[in-house]
Amino acid sequence: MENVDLQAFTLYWLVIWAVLGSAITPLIFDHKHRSPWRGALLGLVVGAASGQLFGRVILVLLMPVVPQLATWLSMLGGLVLLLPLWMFVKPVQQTSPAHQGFVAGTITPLTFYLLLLSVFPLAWALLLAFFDYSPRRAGGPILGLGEGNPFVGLQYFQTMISGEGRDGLIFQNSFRNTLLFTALVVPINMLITIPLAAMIESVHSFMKTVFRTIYFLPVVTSSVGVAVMWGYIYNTQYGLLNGVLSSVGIQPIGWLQDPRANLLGVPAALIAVVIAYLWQDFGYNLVIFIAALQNIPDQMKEAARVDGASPLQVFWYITLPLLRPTILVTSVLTVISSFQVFDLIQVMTQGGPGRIGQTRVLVLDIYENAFRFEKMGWAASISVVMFLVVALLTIIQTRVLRTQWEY
Amino acid sequence: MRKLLITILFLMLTVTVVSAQEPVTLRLWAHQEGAFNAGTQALIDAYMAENPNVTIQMETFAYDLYIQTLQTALPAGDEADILALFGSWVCSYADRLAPMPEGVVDTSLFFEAALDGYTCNEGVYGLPQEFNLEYGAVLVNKSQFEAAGLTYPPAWADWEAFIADAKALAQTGNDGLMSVAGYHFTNADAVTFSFLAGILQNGGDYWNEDRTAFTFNTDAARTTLNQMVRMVEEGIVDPVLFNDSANWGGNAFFTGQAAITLIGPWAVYLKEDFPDFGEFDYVALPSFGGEPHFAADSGWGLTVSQNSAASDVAWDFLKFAAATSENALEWNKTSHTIPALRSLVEDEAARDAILADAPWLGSVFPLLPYGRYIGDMPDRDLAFYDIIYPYILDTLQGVMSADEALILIEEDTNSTFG
Repeated sequence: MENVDLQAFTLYWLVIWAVLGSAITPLIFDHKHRSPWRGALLGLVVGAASGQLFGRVILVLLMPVVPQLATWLSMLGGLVLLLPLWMFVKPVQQTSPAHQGFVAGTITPLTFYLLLLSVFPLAWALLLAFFDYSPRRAGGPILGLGEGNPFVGLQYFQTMISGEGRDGLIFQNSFRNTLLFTALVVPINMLITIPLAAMIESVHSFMKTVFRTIYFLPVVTSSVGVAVMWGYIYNTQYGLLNGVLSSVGIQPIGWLQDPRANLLGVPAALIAVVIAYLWQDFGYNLVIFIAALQNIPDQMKEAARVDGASPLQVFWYITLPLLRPTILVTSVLTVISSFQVFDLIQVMTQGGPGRIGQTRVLVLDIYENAFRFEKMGWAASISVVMFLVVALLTIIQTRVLRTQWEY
Repeated sequence: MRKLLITILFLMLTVTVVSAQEPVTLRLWAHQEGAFNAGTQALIDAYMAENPNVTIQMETFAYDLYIQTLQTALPAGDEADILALFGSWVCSYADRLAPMPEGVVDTSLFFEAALDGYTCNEGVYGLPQEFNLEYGAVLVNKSQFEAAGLTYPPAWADWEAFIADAKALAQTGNDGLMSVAGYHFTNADAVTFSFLAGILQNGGDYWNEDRTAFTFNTDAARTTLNQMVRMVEEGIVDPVLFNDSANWGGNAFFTGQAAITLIGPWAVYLKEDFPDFGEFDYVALPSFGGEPHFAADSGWGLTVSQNSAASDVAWDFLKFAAATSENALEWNKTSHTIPALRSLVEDEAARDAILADAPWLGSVFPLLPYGRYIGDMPDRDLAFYDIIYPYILDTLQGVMSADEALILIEEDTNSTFG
């Protein structure tokens, strides 16, 4: 038993048998004219309990006898109580007209999965935001909270607002950088993708496919690869960009390294990262806009042309307004992805240059605090703030760009 | 009555002998590092040959995974019996480790810098296997010294002689950018350990008297930082082009972009990645000021889990592996590390045995008595890599003044005490 990671097996038994129990039992209950929803719930509880109890019993009994097989056979623990349930539950006369066995058997395990792997971690993250939690310290009996990981109330949020101390200062800097990054990325992305989509939409269908493929390629390319490539382009000594600048007599710039380099007060490193991000990301919105443009009825544009509108007027007064719902979707998605930028910055600058970090963004701050410095509580509180800001921005965008019509 | 007593005594002795020979299985965790793991496995094999009832199973993890595993396994109590830990981490895990039983090992056998990381609240929580050194000696490139008409290998009498050589070795390309750094000391580790060593060599200290707070805003620290700034001003290194994220010291040296590089002796093995690189040496730096004092991490060593059911056997293995000269010597030779045991440096035969495999360590051995453990910091990585290094790099890059940097370093490092 010494070599068995019991915590891991406890999780396996729970997930396997809760899911199988709640997926199969409703089908059997439905077949026997019983309520499939009740069956799903019963299957979930019985499967989880049986998996835990008999998985452990099998492991303890068989480990000394067949150590190689014991762990595998322990996976069958859930069947001990589920099989009798499936076999001996009696059919009833009254039938439910709906026959929702399949529905219950799919929704219940998925809901359980979602609760266990998404809702629970989210709730835990929310809870952690109020605790000085580090996995290294011994905490209380419930989720390790309390005792060595004390409750700190709203202290972290006060630090964020006041900007006091090193953590507060770095948070405010990361928050500013994230907002600046998003403020640069979203409008530039829209300014590039909408006209480009309109141009691509107007070419021959074969070329349309070619362009769409070319522009979409960076989206499916690894971010690390993209970051490395742009890192070479921006390299101060051997980079392509400085090579071009040098050839026209401009002094090389330390794009990713020099904290003094800036353009109109915006750090050069941040601009460099924004360009790399746009290059990789804009193909995604482009494809969406091309699809949206294809859905705009030709009659509307035709009518405008008959009325004497120039191509620019058609684009401005017909195409653009009709793209509003798509602009809403793409801008919301771009804001969310901009707030989540991490890999590109981690590889290109690690948040630098400069002591506080001219490209240090919120996700990088969360990552470093959580996994490098083990300040899980502080990291969780930053993620809560980030969630609230993204939610707020999404609501604002939805309100501003909402349309009352369809075509 | 006497017969009964003799029988009872005989039975007790029999039970004791039987229990002493009961099979004991220990697990040992270490990070994946070929030479280290080979050295440890050899020790395990030797120990098991001497103690047939003991089985030690080594389990290794990739470095990052190992750190995460330690962080989660120790609070959960799932860790192995014996843990290979970096000395500077030990005190942060001390409440989950088994202290050394009284009198198992004479701790004066070890260099203080190597052992002090394992000493927490006056208890010893493990034994070091290596002396970790990041400051004191530098890599020097023979061809670049000869091209500049300088004496090779260098033997700098004082700091000024060193500065003169470094200045002569620096080169600038046609584009106006530095192409060869005369002295590359602007990596995170190099900057931090230079700063700490400079403070000690300039007669100061970065700890207060009872070691409860950092004191970085001092005259010794100011003198040190100004000495570092001076090297930038004299064109010895461009800290924008040469730092942790661009032209890292080890790579810069072996690609001919740095003529002198401050780095630990482990970097000598980077040469394997650059087979065409010419001759080089590893030579001692002159002191900034007085004696060549320097701060050092406590290096890798072995510790015993508090949850080990056979902690006495585990400690016996630690004694066998780290405190027995011949075993420690074999481990140091296999892992190419600096010994933590004084006797291996002081004893001529042992020293020669190490230098036969790693001659460059000859410049390092005389420095070892001047080493001092960095001290038990609340978060060493945070203090080093996110506070001291970025502030000093900003100062070297001309973004902030030395005075401003020292105030902020002191404030921020002290805020890590929580």
